[in-house]
Amino acid sequence: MINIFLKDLKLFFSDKKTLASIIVMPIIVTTILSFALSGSFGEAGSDWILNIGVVKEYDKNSEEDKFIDFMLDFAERYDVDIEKFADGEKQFEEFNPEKIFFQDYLGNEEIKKFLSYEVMSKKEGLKKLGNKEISSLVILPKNYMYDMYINTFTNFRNKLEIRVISHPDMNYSGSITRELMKNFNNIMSSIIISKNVYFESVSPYLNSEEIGENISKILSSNEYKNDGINIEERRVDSKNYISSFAYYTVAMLAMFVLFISSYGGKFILDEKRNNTFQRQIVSGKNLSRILTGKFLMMFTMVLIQSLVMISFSRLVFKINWINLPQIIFITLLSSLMVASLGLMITVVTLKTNNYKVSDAFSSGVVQILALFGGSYIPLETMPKFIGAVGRYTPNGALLKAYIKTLEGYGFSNITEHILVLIVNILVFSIISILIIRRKSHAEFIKS
Amino acid sequence: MLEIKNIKKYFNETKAVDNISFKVERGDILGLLGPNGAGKSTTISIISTLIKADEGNVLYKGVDIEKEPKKIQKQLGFVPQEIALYPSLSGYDNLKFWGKIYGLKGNKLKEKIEEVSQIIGINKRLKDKVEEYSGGMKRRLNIGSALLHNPEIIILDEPTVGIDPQSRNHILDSVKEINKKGSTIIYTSHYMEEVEYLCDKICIMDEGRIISQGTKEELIQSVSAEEKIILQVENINKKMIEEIKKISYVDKAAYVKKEITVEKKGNKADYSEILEAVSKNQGHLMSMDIKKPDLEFVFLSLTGRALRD
Repeated sequence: MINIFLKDLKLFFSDKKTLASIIVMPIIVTTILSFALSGSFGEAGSDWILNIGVVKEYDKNSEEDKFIDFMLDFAERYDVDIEKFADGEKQFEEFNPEKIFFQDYLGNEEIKKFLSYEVMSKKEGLKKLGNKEISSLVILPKNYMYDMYINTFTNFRNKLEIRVISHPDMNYSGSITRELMKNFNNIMSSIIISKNVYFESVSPYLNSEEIGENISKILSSNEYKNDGINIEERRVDSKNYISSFAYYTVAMLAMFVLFISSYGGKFILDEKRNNTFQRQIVSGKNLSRILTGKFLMMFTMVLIQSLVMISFSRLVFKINWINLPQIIFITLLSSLMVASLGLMITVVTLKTNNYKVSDAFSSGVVQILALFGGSYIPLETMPKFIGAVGRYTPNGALLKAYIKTLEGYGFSNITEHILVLIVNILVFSIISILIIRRKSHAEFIKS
Repeated sequence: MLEIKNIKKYFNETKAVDNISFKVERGDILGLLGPNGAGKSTTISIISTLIKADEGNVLYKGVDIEKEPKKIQKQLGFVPQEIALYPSLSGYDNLKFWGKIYGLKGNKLKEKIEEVSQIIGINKRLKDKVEEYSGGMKRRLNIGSALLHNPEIIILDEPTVGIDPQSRNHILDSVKEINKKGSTIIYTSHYMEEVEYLCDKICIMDEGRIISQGTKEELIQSVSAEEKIILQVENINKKMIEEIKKISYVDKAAYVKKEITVEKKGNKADYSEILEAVSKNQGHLMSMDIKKPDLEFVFLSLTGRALRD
């Protein structure tokens, strides 16, 4: 049996094409998918920084002059003592929309931990966005200063729209930037609303000096400096982030191990066609021994493939394979699952005497299982029924078990997936044994 | 040593083997001769335990191999008609695998690989992959893989099909050498000259049956075949033919155009009277060919067809 196993392993390694498709292909596909879909995943690590660009479409000086002209015209027209109402230049200087946005908001200590911005022209910003040097471009529009002054110092309300352009591959980064800008708008709106309410409800009872003092207090409430900005860097469940590299290493591993299961069938039919199978039978080696050799070959190939993928991802993608005993346990179960599935395919291939069974599995069934098991797209983003089915597929359970381990979950949190794998192993093995027992050896031998 | 008793094998409605019996003694080279489809491969598949007979028994040293297949399997070297090797492995790895299958290991395995590769003449190409071998080399390695464990019985199923004459001769000589070392051999072929050259006993098979068996001489005698003399003569006439017919050891004489065929009686190797009759009647002898009776003739006599039809 060991001789048959070693010979099968030698045959596997002697076929460069097979070896490439089992060892090299998963590495290539993982690399491509990880880079291509990196924007759909959270970046791991505390040094994660959101890089954005900010475009100033407004002209600070001319818009300030424009506002002063407006106020002077307003005061003259309605005979308002502008000096007393707004406490003159002091208050105007204190309320600086540019300073509020850049220093008080984006420069806030909490935001600075994960966001870095750079002021740039729109053209430069779009170019950097295209090159993914920044994830989003925030555009402060023309009249930003003027509109902010109008909204703040008068009871008029001008529409002010801060635009955010994001790279399509960096969805999550784009969402965070949009949320930040929405938050900034909300803070400014609440200040402006407070001021307007005050104007309309209190001003009839107070003199202009008292109004000026209280407006000054509202504007200097500093809400935009600290309050309302509470960024939590950790996941809700305090677990590790899964990068696209970690996800696709595991997803491709869970998919590519399934391909190995078709090789038992292919190998045994090759042997039948070149009569080495019959020769082994004549030498006294029974069918069970030959099949056990194939089982061990597939088991070992999954171990080798997993070891290569894990080592590659550790060295190249710097993926931290924590909880090694749990990873080893899952890998051993994965090898058993693939070998028992392979055994079933081998027996059916031998019985039908046709390559179609193993071919159909490797070219069709694996792809369907990959889709349902979350190897291409995470199950969380798929329709609910696919997610429900996927978690019970062998590769889906395998993927979940690995991912949860990488996230930091212990054995008790992966028992469901382990059970799914064990049930798969049992089902495949029982079907194989039933087929072998129900058919005579002669039926397997005849060509 | 090996007794085949009334075995029958059907594949659906087709009778592949129809009630055949024969015995093989230790040290024999038994030939199964017959055209393609005669039932030779089915017979040896039953003997080698690959398939089971529908009726009858095969006894190896008195033990029914259907009940105890292991008994013969350990002592059997089976060389199938098709090349049963792993093409992507080297010749050495193939021999090593088949040696290990029969329980050889360590130095003994190495020694046997060395010895067998010498016998089959591939010792210089052992490291090369089998897929790079010529057809003849593959055939020889196919045989070598069955010799490693010194089997008591070696079954060779048409081992020379599709190879060059040089490799064929090498294989035939190897088989003789292996037999001299003590192995009993069952050799199937549809090449009459191979069976004639190698085998002590011959079973002629056709349509699943053994139509005749015995030594070569016994088979020839069984169809009363005699020597034939073919003469190419210019100026043949009836008087010449009549005079030849009157010669005491001549059984029959006939002519077609410039060719006279004379069938002899007895073993007397004297042709002078025939030549004298030709020259006396103004005939000009161009050539003379003496044809001894062979297995081809036996087969033709028994079935009315040539062996390779």
